[in-house]
Amino acid sequence: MSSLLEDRYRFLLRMLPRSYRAGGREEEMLATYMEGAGESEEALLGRPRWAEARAIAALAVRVRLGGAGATARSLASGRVVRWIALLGVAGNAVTTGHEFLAGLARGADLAPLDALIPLGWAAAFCLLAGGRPRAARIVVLPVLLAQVAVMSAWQDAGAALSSVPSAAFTVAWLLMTAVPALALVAGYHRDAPPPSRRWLALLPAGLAFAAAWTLLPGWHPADEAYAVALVGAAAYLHAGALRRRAAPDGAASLALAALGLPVLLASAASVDGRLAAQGDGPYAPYAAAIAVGVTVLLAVAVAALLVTGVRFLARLPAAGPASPAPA
Amino acid sequence: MTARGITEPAFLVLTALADEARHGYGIVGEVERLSGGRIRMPVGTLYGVLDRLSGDGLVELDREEVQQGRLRRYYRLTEAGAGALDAEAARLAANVRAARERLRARGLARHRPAWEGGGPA
Repeated sequence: MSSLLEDRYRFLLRMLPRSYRAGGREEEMLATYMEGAGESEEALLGRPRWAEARAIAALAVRVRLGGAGATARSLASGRVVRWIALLGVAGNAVTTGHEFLAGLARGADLAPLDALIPLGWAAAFCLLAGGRPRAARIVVLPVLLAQVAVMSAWQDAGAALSSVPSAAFTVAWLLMTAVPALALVAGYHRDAPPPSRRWLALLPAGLAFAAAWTLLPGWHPADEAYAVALVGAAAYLHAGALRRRAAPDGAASLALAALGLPVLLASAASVDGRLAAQGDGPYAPYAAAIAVGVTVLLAVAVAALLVTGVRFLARLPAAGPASPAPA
Repeated sequence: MTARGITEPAFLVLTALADEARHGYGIVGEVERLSGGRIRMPVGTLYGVLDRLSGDGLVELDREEVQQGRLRRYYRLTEAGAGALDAEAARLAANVRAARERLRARGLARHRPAWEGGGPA
């Protein structure tokens, strides 16, 4: 008959994928743990210590995201999450950096955090693309917390002026901010390969694109630029695959779709507001066409990317042995 | 030797397997002894390290046994693992030697090991 401690430890082991626990690994880990627990405080309390739970959670994340012992599908999932981290952190560095520079240019009253947040995202991206993902993971969490605090203050200020952003826009913004940061923390574990240094060029290229975007006639918010960049990336991915006569990179497709969904939500939620903001100026019809066209194009691109990505993942085997066979 | 380098837990696991094949709990106990009680390796961490070392070809499964209804798998060091451990031990020894020489030059080598005529100065 199993003890309470054994039941609870077995429950913790369920965090690990079934494929990893198969082939006796679950029983082996349980035996190792129970032998060590002996007459310890854990055995008396019938509860594994916090360090054990944390270690299994960390192992579960690594195994699911392409760590040592992972299956082909887990390896692909790890690549998806790392693409989300790389492109999403770059996107956040560019959008917050561009907003700060645009604020400086129009002489807005900026707080120190308005400068520190884009610098933080840029630092996290440079560390990541520069081959130091562990340092990037340390930098990104305080930056995320600072940005959420600033957004919360904006919400309070908006409530005072009766101009609170819609719930859909707030959710979309939170996802765009938090998902890349969490993907960076989870995806770049010890076993993950660092990205190529050539991705460092993404930051200046993104800032140049954002600066060019402001030269368009009429008013176009940052999420519109983000949407255009995503559509461009999707087109580049598919065009490259057509040239090579191969399927597009499924992991990159799925990552772009994941980044595109909140942008699409924000874009769709703010079409009315953007059309109203154009007023009756000479560029109003042109700007309105961009506002609607970008949202439609993004919806098509996200759908195409999702189909490509899901097909790619479905083709991969979900199972595989976790333990080596005896030599 | 792997491109990633050897972390302290991996170094201690390789050291624990240097003299004989051991099962999971045997490795945990040996690591605790080797680290002077400083490192009590959680089981999840141990198997993460073993997966990585197996993937790099530094350890391999030796045999399986069932003891009192529980599965024990014994792991052993491979030749590549012994070579990696030797290289890492030499690297650490060189670092220790360099640090001691510098401290001696400053007159601060108070905690010399036994093989150098040890004990606090």
